[in-house]
Amino acid sequence: MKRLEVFIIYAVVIASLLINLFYLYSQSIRLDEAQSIWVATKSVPTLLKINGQDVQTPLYTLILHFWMQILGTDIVISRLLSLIFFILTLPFLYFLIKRVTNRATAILGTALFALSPFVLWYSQEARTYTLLTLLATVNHYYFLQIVDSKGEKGRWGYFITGLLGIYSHYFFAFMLLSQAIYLLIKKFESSRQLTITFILLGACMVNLFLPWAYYVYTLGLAANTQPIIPQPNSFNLLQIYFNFFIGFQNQLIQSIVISLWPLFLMIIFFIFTRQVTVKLQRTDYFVVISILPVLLIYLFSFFKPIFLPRYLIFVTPSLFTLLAWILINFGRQVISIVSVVIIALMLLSLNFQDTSAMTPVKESYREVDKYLVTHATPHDIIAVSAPFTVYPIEYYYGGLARIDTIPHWNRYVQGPIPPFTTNELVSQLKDYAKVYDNIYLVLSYDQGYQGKIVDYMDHHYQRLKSMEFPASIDIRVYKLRYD
Amino acid sequence: MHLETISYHRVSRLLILVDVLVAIFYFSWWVTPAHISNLWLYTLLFIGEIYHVIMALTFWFTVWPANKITVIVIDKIYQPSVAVFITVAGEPVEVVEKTAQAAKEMDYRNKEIYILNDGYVAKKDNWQQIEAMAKKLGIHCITRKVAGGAKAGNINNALRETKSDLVAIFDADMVPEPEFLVRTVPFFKDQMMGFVQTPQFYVNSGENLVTAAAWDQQKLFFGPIMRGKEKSNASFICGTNVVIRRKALEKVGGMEERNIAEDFLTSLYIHQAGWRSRYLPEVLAKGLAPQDLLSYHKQQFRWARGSLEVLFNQNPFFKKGLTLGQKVQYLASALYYFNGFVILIDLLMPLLYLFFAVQPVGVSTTSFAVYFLPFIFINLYTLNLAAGADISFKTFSFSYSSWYLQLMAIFSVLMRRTVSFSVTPKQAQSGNYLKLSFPHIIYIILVAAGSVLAIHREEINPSVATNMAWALFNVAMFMPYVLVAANLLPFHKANKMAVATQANV
Repeated sequence: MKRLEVFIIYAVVIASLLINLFYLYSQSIRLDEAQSIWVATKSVPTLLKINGQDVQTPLYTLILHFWMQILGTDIVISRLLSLIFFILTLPFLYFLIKRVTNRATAILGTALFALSPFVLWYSQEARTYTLLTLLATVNHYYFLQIVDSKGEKGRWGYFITGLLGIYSHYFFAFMLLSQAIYLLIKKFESSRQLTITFILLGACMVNLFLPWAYYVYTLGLAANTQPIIPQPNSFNLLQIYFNFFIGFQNQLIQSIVISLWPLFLMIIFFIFTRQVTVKLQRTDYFVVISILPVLLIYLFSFFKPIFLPRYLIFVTPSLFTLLAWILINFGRQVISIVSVVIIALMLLSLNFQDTSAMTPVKESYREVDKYLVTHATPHDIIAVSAPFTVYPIEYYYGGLARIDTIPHWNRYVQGPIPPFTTNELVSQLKDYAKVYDNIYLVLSYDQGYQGKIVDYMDHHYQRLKSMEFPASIDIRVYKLRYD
Repeated sequence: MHLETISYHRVSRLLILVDVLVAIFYFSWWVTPAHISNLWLYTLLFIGEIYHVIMALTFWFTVWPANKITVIVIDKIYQPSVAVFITVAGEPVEVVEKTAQAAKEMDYRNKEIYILNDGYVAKKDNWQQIEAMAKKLGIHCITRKVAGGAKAGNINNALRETKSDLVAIFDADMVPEPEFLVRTVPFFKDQMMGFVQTPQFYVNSGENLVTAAAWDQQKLFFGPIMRGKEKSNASFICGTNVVIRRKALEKVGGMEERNIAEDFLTSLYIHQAGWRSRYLPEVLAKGLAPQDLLSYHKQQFRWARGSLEVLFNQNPFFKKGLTLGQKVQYLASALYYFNGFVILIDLLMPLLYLFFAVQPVGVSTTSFAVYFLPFIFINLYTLNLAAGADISFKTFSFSYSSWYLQLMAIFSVLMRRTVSFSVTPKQAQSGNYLKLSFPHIIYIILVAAGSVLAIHREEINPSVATNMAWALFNVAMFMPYVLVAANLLPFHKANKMAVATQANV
């Protein structure tokens, strides 16, 4: 590549960071972020306990805890941590790709990754996902180093990133499992030393993770504190790769683009039959690691639904490595044109994703709170359902009305969120009516009973107003009494 | 001495087992009645998919790794007499002369060279020149005066006039290497060895896109496929670059004259009679690929027609004396030419939706994709792996675009139309071959019209998008073929591509 091209690519990366910084501030807090911040503000033992109960690994929250101790609890500050993990990923990804191909591919792959609307979305979110991506990238590097050196080099790097990986998200285990399957298929490269190295490293990782697993076991699970994840279908399986490349778009665009899959098949078919000029060492590894974890989690979801795009973000480094390698194998002109088109598409998608009200993952809790601050008075009550959405509502709310959840949930008492019952709702409403004039019902993340709440309210109370906020957040105002 | 070998890669048994499991998974989608929308269309597609799965299974059977390794023990004392037949029917004298000269120079004492000159019966102008050239080189020339049986008749005529133990057959353009006989003849120490086939290497594969595509197809055939067939003792005679035991040939009545794929059917008879065969993947003779689209078209049609005739009239599956492996291999080779019918179904389905909003399947396209994509990818991966990662897009394009000539072959067999044997021209024929791509151009026009109609009728929705995508898939597959036919693909580009391919070989 010429200097100018390198300059353009770096300029694009810097532009992406600037865009990132802009959206870091402009986006409303999301449910998960509010939960992270809430947990991270607690003492370390409480933090560990809440993480354990919520089936979450504690590494990110621990880092966030100390980060906030130093810099404060503002959402932008919290998001900055994710952005740092994202920025750190870039040089590691560059070195990973350079290790297996060449400098040009490494620059292209890093630029594509840096512009991925999906990755950028999570680099703006105060959650563990960019930490997960960073660890996955470094882990790939050391994994390949161990395999190539038949177990001689990279053991510590692999061990540390592997261990930190599973402590930053349980799903990292699927990546390690996929690596193990890859090695099994390759018969451990017929190397006894490599086999022993991996068995020992695996055993050490399992041993060091067992204390946490035991701790979680002794706590018992805090059921109902997590959103219900639907069982995935074939559409979701294709959608996830669509998300990786062009982020979260509205449903119609997603459906149409995904329906064009035979064309993507054609492109892959064409690429598949091209003469390769730039070699990607261990192409099979990158293919396996980009597909197998997704398939494993998809299959696992038929037993317990856990299939969410963000949980699979660790696949993106290998996926963008493959994409860059494919592009680099075309002629010079084609690379330039296709890269520009892809980058333009990504930037457009990014802009659309971050600005459109139709973006399915967008949560406008800030706008909701603005509305509540303006309209709800100390004589009114704000009732939030699902109960765990109280975190983002509380984060912004600076008004005088009391906030409660339906069903009522005391977060400071160990145990699950109480299940919803109509009797409990009736009793809760009767208690409210004794004190408050109106109820501001804030509904999001339906856990299967919001219809019942709305139905009951519509039949027993006068509805004064109803409002909708992106994405799928409803506010319904009912009169509780007339005296 | 360094001889090129056709690229091939051993496919692991584990991969083939995974292939089979994925195929079962894919097939399970098709046997779910809930997926049916239009029963007739569904049935048609289902037939097509059964065909695809059968072809995939036979391919996996072919590339299933065997422990048998071809070991040649050169034995210069063992030198049975060999009659070298060079079949000629009007090819340029200089082409034939080169072949004859090379045949003469083959490193083997006990041989006689014969030019089987069919120029007279084929009413070619240069038959006398061929005779003169033979005289000049001091080799025999057998000029037939009574026509009949085309190339097979020519060989049978020569068989009657010669007495050697073995016969080596070369097309007029296939120039043998000096080692040809010393590498192939030792196999005949085995008294039941019927014939030894070697690859048909195209020396002009870098000339243009047609020759490149033709060579790519040959590579696949002479790479994993023929090696796989050998494992079942089912490699067949490919018309040239072959050594046959006279006794075996005479036992089956000589070369089969009633079929234009005489070599294919003769091999079947030889195997049926209990003879063994070997395939030696070394490039021991180099010839010319069809150099223009019309020649390619004629060659493909001849192979399709001959193979389908075998399927309809001499179905290998019901032939006594063949092993199950041989039956499968012969059937697979003949069945390949049914591809045209299956591709036609695949071409029609998106059009039917775009024009009439009817579709065979009544569930979301992504549910199909989840079953289909693993099947297609693992198939492609296995194919590419077996072919030594040397498969090109033009190979697929030319095979896919041959659907209509395969359909014509099916039609002509069913209608029992007589087709004469025509030799593949050894020089590029001039002319515009756009007419050969008329079916493809008509399809492209229909896709454009159907897309406009469907968008007007329904606006863009997932169903329209998927069907347009499938139609465009087909269009993209046709493009190299259509561009070559229309002389729109810049020659230098085609040449570059082809040279790259040749370099890999």
